[in-house]
Amino acid sequence: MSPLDDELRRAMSERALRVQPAADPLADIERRARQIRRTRLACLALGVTVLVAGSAIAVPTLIEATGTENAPEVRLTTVPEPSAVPTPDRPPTPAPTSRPAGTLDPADPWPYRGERSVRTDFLAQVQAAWEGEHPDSTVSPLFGRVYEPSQQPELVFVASGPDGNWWGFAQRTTSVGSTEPVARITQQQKLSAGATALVTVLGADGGGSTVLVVAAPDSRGIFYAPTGGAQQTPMAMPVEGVTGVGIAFRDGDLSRDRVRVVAANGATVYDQAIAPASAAVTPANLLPWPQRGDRVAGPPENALKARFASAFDRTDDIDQVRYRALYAGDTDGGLRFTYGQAWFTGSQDAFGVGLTNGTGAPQPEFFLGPATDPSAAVLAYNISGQPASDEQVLVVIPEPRTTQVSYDSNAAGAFSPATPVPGGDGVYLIDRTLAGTSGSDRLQVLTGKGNQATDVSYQGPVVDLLCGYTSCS
Amino acid sequence: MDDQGREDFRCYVTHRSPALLRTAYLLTGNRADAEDLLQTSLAKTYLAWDRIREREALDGYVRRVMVNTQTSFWRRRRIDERPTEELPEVAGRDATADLDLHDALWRALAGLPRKQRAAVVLRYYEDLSEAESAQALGVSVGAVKSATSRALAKLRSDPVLADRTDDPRLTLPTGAQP
Repeated sequence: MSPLDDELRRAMSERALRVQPAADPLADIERRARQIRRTRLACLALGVTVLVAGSAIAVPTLIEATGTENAPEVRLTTVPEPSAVPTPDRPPTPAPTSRPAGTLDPADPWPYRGERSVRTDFLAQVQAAWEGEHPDSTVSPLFGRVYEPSQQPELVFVASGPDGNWWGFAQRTTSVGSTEPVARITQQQKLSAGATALVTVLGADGGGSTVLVVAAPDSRGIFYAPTGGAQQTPMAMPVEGVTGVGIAFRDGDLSRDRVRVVAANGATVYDQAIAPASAAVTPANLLPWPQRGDRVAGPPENALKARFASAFDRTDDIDQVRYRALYAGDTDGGLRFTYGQAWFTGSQDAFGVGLTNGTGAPQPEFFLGPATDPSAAVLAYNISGQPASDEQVLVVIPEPRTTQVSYDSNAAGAFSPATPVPGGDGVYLIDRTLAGTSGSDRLQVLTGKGNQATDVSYQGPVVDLLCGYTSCS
Repeated sequence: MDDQGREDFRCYVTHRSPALLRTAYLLTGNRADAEDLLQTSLAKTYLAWDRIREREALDGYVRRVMVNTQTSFWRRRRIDERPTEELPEVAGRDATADLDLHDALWRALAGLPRKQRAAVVLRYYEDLSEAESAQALGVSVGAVKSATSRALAKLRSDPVLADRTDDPRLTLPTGAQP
């Protein structure tokens, strides 16, 4: 214990001893309790009144949680009713379709709750990250908070698109070697029909786990039972005043813990054990680099997924393969290609993969690399088999903050700046001669201000970047 | 609430209000807000009295309500926390030096962000463990460690205490021994 700690204790004790409570605090407490109860009932009554009115005449009502982290306020703003003059051409508004209490409808998800800054500042990043794996999808935020220790936003969301309905959890992190914060989808799972609770298990500072439950906003209560015991305690609110969301911190094995959700009508709509293994966790080495190039130009990604599954003798698990393209495009010779990272759902590792296809190519050329180094400054992909040519094409995909890539066709020469692909957002296609493929060519990647003396993020043989899954030969 | 429940609640308030008020005072920085915070927190506890199963853990429950209420309470009121009470006479040690230092610490404490301040109060005044503090604050143990560490660092670097860098009572023990 430090001297400062001791003096701090003494200072606080000294100050605290000065205060004494009022003679009879109970009367004031009861008065305040009545006031709090009246306020709670008034809010509930007003909400019911608005919902009933909405079924007869189209009176749009805006309900927005304007709360910050600690003082959430719910404002009910009613748009003025339409004019009293009859409009015979307007059909009556149908009554809203009822759904079971407490269920999540991806077509009409629960309204956003939590810290407003997360929705305004983070949602767009999450949408962009999500679309990388699930094109043409729409992300709807459900709950957001700023994680206190890191001061970074976290978001629970639901998404709908051509590949179905999902829900997920995203955090903002800073990728290795970059100062740019990015959204990282750390958990994602198919959304079951009639879902009534979204349960996420996260790591907690200092070890242990954090269990986060998002249920319907009007849920009467969310309860937690460690080791499945009879004692169920209400879960804490991660953000003050935000209902229908609970959080708990636990050490040890959670496999017997249970979560129970009681809907507004008093019915138990969720009562299940924690199943953290069922959550589809994205690989820890998934690079948060932007997706570049023209994905339409590249070969079909399903073909790549099939080759990936086959490479691991898991042809029955093609539907569990996920792929995130880092670049897709065409070579000058007309070959289409795509290069990125692929993984199986639930796996901790994503692997570099590439596939070529196109008119005149003898066969689609598939490449499987090792598990991606999350600190990599540059990735490279060698395309051989160019139609009517002995040359190969070296695809260089550097990290986003790269300022210059230079190439030396043989170790005795000097580096010459390479020209990026027009519209390729910093990706380079470099013609590689047979001499270069013997292992003597080199690559140099500069970041920051492009100063060769200080900003070299990679300088070395090209072959070192072209290792396959099983060997580097 | 039935008569027995009401009597139990009254008994609890009578016996625990002094201690809880002192905690509320440290959280808010002035007496008026402390009384307001305590009354509001006890009112919320009153409404939940019948649902509270573990009566042995009432202090923890009220403390938690107080910390959570204080944060939203703080945002609405935005009260300036400059201490205004007169300093009492203290015998024994170098009284003047102690008073000056404690006053400086109190002012520095007033400048902490609300959650860091709450963490310091719970850890150093209430003497709660990290786990107990985490439960009261509704955060993880790691978050308590982080908040406490940042709070102490901020206290040491506070301009109010900046002139006292040579005060041995504010230095950390070093590894080397004289």
